[in-house]
Amino acid sequence: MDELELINKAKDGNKSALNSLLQDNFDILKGYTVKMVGNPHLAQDIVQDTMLKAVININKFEPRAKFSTWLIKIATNVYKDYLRKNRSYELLDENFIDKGHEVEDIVMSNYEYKEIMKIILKLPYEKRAVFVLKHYYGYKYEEISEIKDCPIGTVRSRLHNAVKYLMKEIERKEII
Amino acid sequence: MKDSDKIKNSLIDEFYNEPHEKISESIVCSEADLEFKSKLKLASNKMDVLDEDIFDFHIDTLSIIEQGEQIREVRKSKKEFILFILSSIIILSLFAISIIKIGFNLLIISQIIIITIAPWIVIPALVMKKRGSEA
Repeated sequence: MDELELINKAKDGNKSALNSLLQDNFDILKGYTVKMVGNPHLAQDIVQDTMLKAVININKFEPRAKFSTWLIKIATNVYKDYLRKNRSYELLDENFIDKGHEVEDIVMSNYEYKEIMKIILKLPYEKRAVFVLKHYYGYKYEEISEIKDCPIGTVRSRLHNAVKYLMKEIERKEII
Repeated sequence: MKDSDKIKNSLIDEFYNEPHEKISESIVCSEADLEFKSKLKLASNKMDVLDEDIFDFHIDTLSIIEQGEQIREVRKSKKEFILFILSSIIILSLFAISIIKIGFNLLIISQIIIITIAPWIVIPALVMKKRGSEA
């Protein structure tokens, strides 16, 4: 069954179709959220909230874009709300670094993973979102500008700045 | 913006397959730009390490769907309740105004009309609705 058919059935109240849609898009949503948040526990909460909002608002979804794009847009807003309420995304990033031991335990011997994650988390939220969407998911500038509700020029300059910063940091930390 | 910055931005756009300003070969061939290009590729490879799925967590989508449905139902009934209250207030107000303007007789006449006509409308409507939901 293709995505459009599942979406139509889900809109008609078919729980199984809605469940399939959520299951099919779980990995991409999880990957995006983990990369944005850098903390698996918080990522789990955000994924749950995102899915709940998607279920509540499924009738508002217009299948012009992919379902995964819509989920990512919701996740971006949920995370943004979280940051606004907690006013501490930098603190969260520091949190990740401070809790280095925990992450180290999870990541085990994966030094590079931890270092790259730390570098990405040091990026301001807006640039991080653009970079993650572009680099890991290959979204076009136009799609990112729709997800982020900002002009294409802003997306482009955020990506340029993010990439230059990441390159500089990777080089400085001698990961290359 | 400096030329070197422009070239770097174009190289990034090119790397991510986005439309970019055409830069003549002779300019891009400067050593610094070629170095930037290769560093970009290397950095990109390094950044791909995050594609590994190392954080394992499970989410019960079915319970989320149930929760979502419940929230939708609560919202729907709240909306219906507010609509009911508003429409009741409007109807009763209009009725009260009409009685004040036209006279008390209107109340008696309207009551007789409602009692006579209502069963002929309400009962068939309910039967049709029941048949519709059974089909």
